[in-house]
Amino acid sequence: MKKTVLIVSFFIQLLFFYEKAVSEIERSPEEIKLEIKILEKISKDIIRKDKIRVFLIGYDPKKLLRYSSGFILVKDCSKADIVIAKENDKGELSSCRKDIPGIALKYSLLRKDSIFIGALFWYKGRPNLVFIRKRLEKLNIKLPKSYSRYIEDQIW
Amino acid sequence: MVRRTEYLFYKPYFLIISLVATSIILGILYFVAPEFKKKMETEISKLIIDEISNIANNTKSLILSRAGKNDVLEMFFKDEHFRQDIENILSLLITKNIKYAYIVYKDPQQKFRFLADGSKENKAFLNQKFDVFNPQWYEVYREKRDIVIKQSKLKTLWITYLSPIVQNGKVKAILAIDFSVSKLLQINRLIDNIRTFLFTFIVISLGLLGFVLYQFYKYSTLKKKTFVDPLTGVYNRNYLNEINHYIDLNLYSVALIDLDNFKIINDTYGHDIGDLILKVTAKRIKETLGNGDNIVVRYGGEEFLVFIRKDKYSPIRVLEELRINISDYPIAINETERLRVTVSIGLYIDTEKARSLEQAIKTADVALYRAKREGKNRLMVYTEAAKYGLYTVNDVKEAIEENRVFCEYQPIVDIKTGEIIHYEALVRLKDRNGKTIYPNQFLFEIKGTFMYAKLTQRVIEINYKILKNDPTIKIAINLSAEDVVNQTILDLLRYVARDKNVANRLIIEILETEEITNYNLFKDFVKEIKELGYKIAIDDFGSGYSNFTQLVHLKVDYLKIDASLIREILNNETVYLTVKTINDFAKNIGAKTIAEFVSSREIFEEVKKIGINYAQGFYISKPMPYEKIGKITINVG
Repeated sequence: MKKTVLIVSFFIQLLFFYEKAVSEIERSPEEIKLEIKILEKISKDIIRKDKIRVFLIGYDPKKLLRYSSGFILVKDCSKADIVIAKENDKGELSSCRKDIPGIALKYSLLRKDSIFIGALFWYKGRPNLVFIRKRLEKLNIKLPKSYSRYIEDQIW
Repeated sequence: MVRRTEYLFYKPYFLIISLVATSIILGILYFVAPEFKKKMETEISKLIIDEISNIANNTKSLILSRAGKNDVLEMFFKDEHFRQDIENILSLLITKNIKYAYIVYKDPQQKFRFLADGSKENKAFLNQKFDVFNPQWYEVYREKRDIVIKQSKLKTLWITYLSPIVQNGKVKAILAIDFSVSKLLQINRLIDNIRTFLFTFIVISLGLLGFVLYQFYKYSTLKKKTFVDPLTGVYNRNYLNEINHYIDLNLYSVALIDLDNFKIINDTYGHDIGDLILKVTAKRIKETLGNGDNIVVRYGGEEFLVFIRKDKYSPIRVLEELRINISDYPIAINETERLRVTVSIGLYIDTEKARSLEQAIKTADVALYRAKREGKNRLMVYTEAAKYGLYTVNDVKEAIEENRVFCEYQPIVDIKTGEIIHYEALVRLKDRNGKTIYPNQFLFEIKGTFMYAKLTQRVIEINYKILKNDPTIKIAINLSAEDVVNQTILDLLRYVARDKNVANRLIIEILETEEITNYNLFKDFVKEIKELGYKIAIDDFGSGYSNFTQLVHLKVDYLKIDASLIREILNNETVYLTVKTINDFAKNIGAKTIAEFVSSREIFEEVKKIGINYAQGFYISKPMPYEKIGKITINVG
């Protein structure tokens, strides 16, 4: 019985990693580069610093550092300026202060956790950017005017 | 005719050209393939757009008909059933190639928002914002017409088809259909596969080309080592064996070129000078004959075999030019001395009549022999014996059968006493009209045939009879290298030797030539002949093939100094010294010397001065029939 559970759990994990790997494969280097450049831009516009201390959850740090020099990786969320998360399966977000702004890389994460002030995600093969007005105001974040088309009053 | 496969191996130019051509063609195709891909992509996208256009129009008609007179935009917000109905219609559009089908509208803030989404998973929410970066989306609203966007930056999409949903002349929303990149990927994959295939073949072709070139290089290097004579730089006999299989004799004239008196040059000036003469001669042959089409082979020690293309050169003109090039330009053998060398050339033109290469060479050799016999330094073209008025093998056969063989006798005298020591029997034929036929008209024609031995037998029989009947006469007869190895002749000599009184008056003159391939057999023969009681003379000694060392062991009785030396003794210091050396050598080995071709008093006096024992030649007496012996006065100085 224990053995069966182990095997099933192994296959579930395998499927999970497969899905993850496939989703990674789907992005071309140009798309990844674009994604990281957008992340760097919005992080700087939110934090207003040249070097942003970032806490990553479920995101490949090597990938981030390959295409951007504006980030400094931190291992402790409490020391971070911003959180960038693709998942929160292990509950890493709990170690973060509530006043640290977060950027979700999935729309579902934005819906789930109020730490995320916005999301950058791929939808219908295109990058989409959304900020939630109330969450921005809560952290007293003022984005440049050019962001107005991305700011939404509610989550759909 | 050259066999095809062998031709390819020895001259792989055709293969090399084919491989280069194949590589170039494949290379062009390889580089043209992306252009072909673009064209294919354009054609397929046209087809797709036509297809999507129809689909979009039908879908829009359905949407508008479902909305009826109601505002279609409002219907999406007010009527959930309507929205679901439309989403069901959109979901039917999703195929392997159509990745997304959805309807969006532009809100007052110019943001695009979803109205309906045909996707089954990760479906958009009503009014969910949809970021578009291409200004063409807005163009659809302005222009009220379908617009096709070819995606270049999005990895999963190829074509986005935007079609305005127009109601009452106003664009209410946009029907968007995203065409998957998979079709494009298929094309790319196909072209990439073709390119990989082409690339593989190019690599294989180039690899093969490299291999062929390497093999050709290796073969050429090996060929050079195996087939080229290191001294002269021309081909050696190995090459002759090689081309024997595939040379087309019809294309070539065959000529044998022999350096005149080369043995004397070698003996007089040493091997280094001999080698130099060979090198310079080979160079002149190559220069005169050209390097491309003609083939030059060092056939023997001082003999060159050449193949001259009949269709490109006149062999007689080329060879005559060569002969003059060699004879008219003496070779510098050191800083002060120049040596004039000459060549004799035998040419065979009608090679199409030859059954084999060997026969063609033999025929050229016949012509060469004639050139030598006629006095050297000349070109002789082979002509059938009959055309020369020469006797054929059959003529000789008939002469033997009809007893038309006889001998003439030329006396050999003691230079000091004038006494006739013996006569040399010289074979003659009589034609049916009684006219005398001399050996130069038939001997060479029967050389190498069994008729030669038959004739020798006949000569032995004739002279045996004379010696038996005339106990006072001593006679010398000639045996060639062919006779020496002929068992019938040996048996006949054994038979004659039973009469001791005959054997001790018969001198066997043997021609020592390069044709004696088995010197031990030759030695055994000489030994047995001596034991049988005959005396031995070596004929034409000094003609080029004499083996001084071997002669020491043979214990011969006479050395007959070659006519070519005696003829030149008054004019050429080198020849004079050679004759003197031979005479001294003969004395040392206990042999008597006979000077042949003593044609004048001056020569007679000269050979007398040197100390030669005996003389023979026209100055003393011409050959005469046996019946006239003793009746004709002879000159003994």
